[in-house]
Amino acid sequence: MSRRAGAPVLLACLLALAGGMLFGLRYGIVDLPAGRIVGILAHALGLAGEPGGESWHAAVLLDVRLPRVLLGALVGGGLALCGAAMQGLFRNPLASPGVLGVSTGAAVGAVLALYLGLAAQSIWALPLLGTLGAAVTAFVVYGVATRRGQTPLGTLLLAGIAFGSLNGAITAFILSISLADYRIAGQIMYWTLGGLDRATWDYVKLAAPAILLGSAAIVYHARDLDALLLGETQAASVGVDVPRVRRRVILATALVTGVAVSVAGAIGFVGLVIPHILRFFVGPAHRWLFPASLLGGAAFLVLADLFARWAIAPEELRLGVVTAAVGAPFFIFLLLRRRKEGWW
Amino acid sequence: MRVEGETFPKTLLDPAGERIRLERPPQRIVSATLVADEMLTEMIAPERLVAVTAYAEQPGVSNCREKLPPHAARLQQAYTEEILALRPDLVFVADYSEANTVRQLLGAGIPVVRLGQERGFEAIARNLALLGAVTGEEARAADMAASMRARIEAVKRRVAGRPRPRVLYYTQWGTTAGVGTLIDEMIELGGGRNVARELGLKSVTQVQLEAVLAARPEVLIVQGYLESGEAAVRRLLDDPLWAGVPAVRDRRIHAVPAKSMGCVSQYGVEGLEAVARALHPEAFEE
Repeated sequence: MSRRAGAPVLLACLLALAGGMLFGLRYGIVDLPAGRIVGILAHALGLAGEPGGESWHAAVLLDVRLPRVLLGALVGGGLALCGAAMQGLFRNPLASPGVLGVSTGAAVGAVLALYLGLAAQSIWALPLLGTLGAAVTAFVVYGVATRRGQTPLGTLLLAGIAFGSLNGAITAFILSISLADYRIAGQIMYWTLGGLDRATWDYVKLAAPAILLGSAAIVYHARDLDALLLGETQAASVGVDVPRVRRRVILATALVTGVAVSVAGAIGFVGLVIPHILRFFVGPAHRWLFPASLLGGAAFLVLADLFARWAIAPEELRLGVVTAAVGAPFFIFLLLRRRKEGWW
Repeated sequence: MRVEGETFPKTLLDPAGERIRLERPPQRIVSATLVADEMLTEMIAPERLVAVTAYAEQPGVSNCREKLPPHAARLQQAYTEEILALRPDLVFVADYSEANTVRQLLGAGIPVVRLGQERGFEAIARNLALLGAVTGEEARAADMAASMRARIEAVKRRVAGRPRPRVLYYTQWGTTAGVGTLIDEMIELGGGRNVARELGLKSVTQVQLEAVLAARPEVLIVQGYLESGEAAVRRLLDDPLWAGVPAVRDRRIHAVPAKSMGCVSQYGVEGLEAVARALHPEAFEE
């Protein structure tokens, strides 16, 4: 199999995403025939008159399924892209979107919102506190690792790990004191497992600008990161402003990851492993890997969420459980096939 | 958990096979679970209760705040040391309490009663009888169970023969209660049909929003817990997503206090009465 099959893989990811989103809209507990879905969508877009039949069908399609599918695509694409960017930047296959401690920072904010009961008062409390926690962590980690304008990657990585552990301890502490009230503790545990069941248009409106803006910034620097793969001196010699590229990619990753975790909880696997899987097909060049990760991650999460909704309906599986349970065996399969050649 | 013997000394039979001897009626009783707090404060002389849980003070969850003996300690958690320091001669714990704590207490020679978080009025009556037997207050316990049953029968008489609306209990975090829960009994005995049964749900469980919208419940029961009951009702009334649901359209959303809905003691009957009143207000007009 060619490792440079960029265009066909990109097309396949795009088709998988489109298919996943259509399936996500089409299938659910309520049986909505395809014709009815088209009618509702056409009416919502102002292309057709009032569709007949049950009016609540429109609510199910437009206010439950559509925001959920969109949010799944945004979060999945954003996390996979950030994982690819961090792996490239740190030149480390273990790097993930959470490597800077950002996702644990988002978790602290989110868990605090649940513990204080703010999440029950306002739908904005949880995503906003989560984003705030991610931002604070990103700036502290970056500040600690930076001296005289220099940010050595090794120091950054260690600072990220240290603050990630600290955040983990804070989250665990809040969880332990909240055990006095099992309802709150249950909420926190539930959120920790990750899921899209809170998806509303408000969440889409909050997440879309941040994730799209951050992703655009990362994709924009794809060629600079390609140069960086050859080493910093090499990159600088072809005109890459290394510190600036690094700073921008790190900030963009913090933004995307923080917002993604805030709206969907801690969804493992996507950011770490989807880029590896796609690197297997398109090679390490970021100008192919980035768009492939964006589309592939989005498709993967939308399909995983479809499975989570379908498997035990009318209850649902936690999305974080599905992503790891489906993804890990597939990744191990790829790993076994490639172990002769080595991954990178 | 069973008790052998009509009079003291009695023997406690633990489901784990442990046999515990009770020489005389216990006089220093520690309650480390809210069910026991709510039952014992109505059953035994206050001076026999040396500790209750801290939950018993919380207005949102406790039904026995006014009845707590002032001298009794408030347990934050069922820590072995804290309990041992009270020199109890009987300890009530929940069946989900830490097994190590139970072992340590039994090892120290203290009789421990594990109370199930029972899921129905008959199970609550069984727990009342158990507490009566171990404390030696059989008659009082029987009175409490009889009064609970009488109130249930009164509700059943009032709602008998009335149309039974399709009712869904739904919390703000998307959970509902199916077969095998007290809430299911409250809805069914209170003159409604529990929609969670139609969905095939058992116990307290998460349900997808789409399933709730598709089930089209005629009445919604919500509970004010982290928010007020009015706020919980208002949130659903104002949400355009819910506008097409019959219960919302007809404004048949009722808030029942969390301490009644989530209760597993004799106070559960108050939840039943509140649900029945919400479903059939005309049946309670005198």
